[in-house]
Amino acid sequence: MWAETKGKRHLSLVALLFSALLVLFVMAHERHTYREQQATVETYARMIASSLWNFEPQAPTDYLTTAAARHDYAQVRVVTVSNQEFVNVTYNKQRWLDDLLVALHLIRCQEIGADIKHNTVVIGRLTVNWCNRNVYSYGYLLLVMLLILVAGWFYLATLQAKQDLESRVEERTAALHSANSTLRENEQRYRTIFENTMLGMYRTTPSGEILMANPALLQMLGYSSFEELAQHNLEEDWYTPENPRSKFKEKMTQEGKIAAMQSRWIKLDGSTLFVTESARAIYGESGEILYYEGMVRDITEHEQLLTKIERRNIQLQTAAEVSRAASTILNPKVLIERAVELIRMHFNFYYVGLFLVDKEGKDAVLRAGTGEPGRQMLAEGHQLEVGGHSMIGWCVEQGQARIALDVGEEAIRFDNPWLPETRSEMALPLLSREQWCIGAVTVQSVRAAAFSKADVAALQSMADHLAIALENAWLHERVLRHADELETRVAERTAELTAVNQELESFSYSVSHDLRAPLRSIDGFSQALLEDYAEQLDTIGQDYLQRVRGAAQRMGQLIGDLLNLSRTTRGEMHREEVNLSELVQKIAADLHRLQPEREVEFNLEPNLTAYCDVRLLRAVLENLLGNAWKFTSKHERARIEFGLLEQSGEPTYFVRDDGAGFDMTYADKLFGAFQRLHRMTEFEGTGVGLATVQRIINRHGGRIWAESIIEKGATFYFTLAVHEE
Amino acid sequence: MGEGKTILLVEDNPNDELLTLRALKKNKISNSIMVARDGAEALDYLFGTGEYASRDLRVMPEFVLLDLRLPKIDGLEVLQRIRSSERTRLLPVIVLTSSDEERDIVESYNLGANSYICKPVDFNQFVEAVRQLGLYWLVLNKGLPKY
Repeated sequence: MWAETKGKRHLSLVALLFSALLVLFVMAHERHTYREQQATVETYARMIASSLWNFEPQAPTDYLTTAAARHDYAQVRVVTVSNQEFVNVTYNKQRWLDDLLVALHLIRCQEIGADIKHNTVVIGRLTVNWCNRNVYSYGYLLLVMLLILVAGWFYLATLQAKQDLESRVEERTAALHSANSTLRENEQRYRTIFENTMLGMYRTTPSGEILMANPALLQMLGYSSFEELAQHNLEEDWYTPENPRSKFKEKMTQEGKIAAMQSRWIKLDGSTLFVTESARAIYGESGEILYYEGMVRDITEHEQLLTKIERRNIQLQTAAEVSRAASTILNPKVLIERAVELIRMHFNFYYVGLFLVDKEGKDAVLRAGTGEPGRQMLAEGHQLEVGGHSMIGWCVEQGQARIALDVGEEAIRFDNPWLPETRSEMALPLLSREQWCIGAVTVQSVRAAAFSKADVAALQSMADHLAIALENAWLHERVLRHADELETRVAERTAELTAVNQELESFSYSVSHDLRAPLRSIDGFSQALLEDYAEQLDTIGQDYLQRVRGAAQRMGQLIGDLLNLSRTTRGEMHREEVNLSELVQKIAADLHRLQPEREVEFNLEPNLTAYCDVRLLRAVLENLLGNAWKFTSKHERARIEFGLLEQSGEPTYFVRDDGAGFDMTYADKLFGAFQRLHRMTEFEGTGVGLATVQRIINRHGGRIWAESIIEKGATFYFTLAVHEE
Repeated sequence: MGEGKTILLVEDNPNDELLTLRALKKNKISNSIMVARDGAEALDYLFGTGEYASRDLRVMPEFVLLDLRLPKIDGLEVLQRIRSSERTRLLPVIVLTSSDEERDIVESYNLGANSYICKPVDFNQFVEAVRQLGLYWLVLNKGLPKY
């Protein structure tokens, strides 16, 4: 609005100026035209003079009339010196308009005169009444009107501008009024804040003079009134040499302000006040710092909490590391050395040592100690009597923690020359699972009252943990020792067994070689006797010799079987998936081939497999099928079966025949070596076959048993350990 | 049956020696039988050392019947020495022993035995074994050409 008005005003001013310039131009032009007209009039005057001189009295009237018409003169007069009118020409064309315009002062009609001279003597005067009626004259008129218009516009514009200004002034005034009242309110508010805020506020000089301090600050520092505070110099009384004010001042000088700086001040009672302060410098006219204005927040509790948290962190971290050591280190010596070092390091204690009660329970012997004192005392074999005057002795006897926050006052304390700087000492019992005290930990600090409740609790829990871990480590050691012993024992037994085995092997080797040779001689020479000296022997003698041979051969057989039996228990087993049905089929075919005249029906379940040593299982099946074949030989027809059934959840193979069977009364003797349930005259055999079978089955982790009814047949069952894959 | 060819019998047991000779005789094997009574003697004979230093080494046995349990140098070592000498490495060696131990059998074949026969206790079976042995090695088997 204001700008618009201003614009209008400017525009009107420019227009006014332009109009004025135009007027000036028109005036100048009119003047010029006037001068021209003056010159014309003078020319006419000279012409009149010359015509008068030539005595042509009518001539001036003629050409003046022409001139009046030509130049549009209203009136042309020539008067003589004696004021006698000589010529008077009036030109009346459009005169009324001129008259009107002249009457309105819109154009000017002027009288232009020129002297008529003869030589230099004035003889008359020519005057013309001339109205400047060319285009500029009308322009002048228009201009004047324009000027009036513009002037009017300018006036209006100015008026409006003035009104605008006025209303603006009013607005400003109102705004100022309201600002004033806000300022007052703000000041009031500021004062309220200053008086009641929790934040401390101050104004101090660089030299430490206290200019202002709000109640909150007074309270923070422990003063009751500002006057009391103002007596102090803050630089001297709030700050300490370790915590000087110079840092604050330096920063102020450099930057002029401080944001959230942490400071420590000394309170009236000497305790420490932790604050964060923000401040700025107020400068004088020459740029020097007049004073500082600042705000402080009391963060003492916060700081204390932080310290507590840090301490707690240390406790937790140490506990975690001791725990980790406890759960990973199984060597008790290493464990306790690590534990004391960890505790000392994290808590920054002077000394930490660990005592263990000796076997008699009389003394607590130092087992680990930190630093040089620890090394020295360990080298000395430092030990303290249980129940004696030392803190450790008391602690171990009572199984309770003992704390001396200032050892100077603790009469019971053992004066230790290795630890002269100890001011606080604590003894913590190491309690076993059964709450036996197995030792104690001593913790010493160079500070008095060094242990907080939380420290004691944390350390005691570490000690408890350590005691259990120690017990575990001892147990582990015992287990290791035991395992070592067991291993040694196993090695010894293995060596013994190997020796026995070797002996057995060389024994059976000897048997194989040496026992057979004499038998062969007995048999061979008996035969030689029978062959070469038959005529010298009667039938009885020959029979005897035959018996000698029979016995020798039987003994040869027995030796062979025995060797087979011992071989089944020796040698490595090579297990694989074996098709037992195929083995059985081959054996059955062999039996048939040897005695093709017998009528035996084989009923064999196909494709039964087992994970076993094929050589040994072949021996088993040869024995069982051979037995079945043999014990059915007295029957005209026989039937032999091989199959698989499940007994108490176990796959069980069986070989069944319908032969002679055996008396179940003697079933327990069936598998003993050289045990026979039939007479030699009934069935041949050495009684070693089933013993061999049982050994093989046992080596395969299986069982063998038999069921029978005399003359109804026998069934042999066996199992083999299932191959797990 | 293959007259003129010598058979070397290495046997320390005189009873076994006698029985073997009897079995050979019963099978009408009339070859000359050289009997060595321990391993050392067998090697002396084969290599012309010791008491056999003056022996004509061009005469070599047709085959050797070798017992394993021998005094001084045992049968397996004798076999090894036979096989490691250029002169005798192709000589047929038949192990004839009481042992049916697996390790003896395996070791004998490892060292290059041509055959392994377990002496049966039954003399008749023994005679049968010797018969077959003679038949095979003296008649059926085509040996190396002699120089």
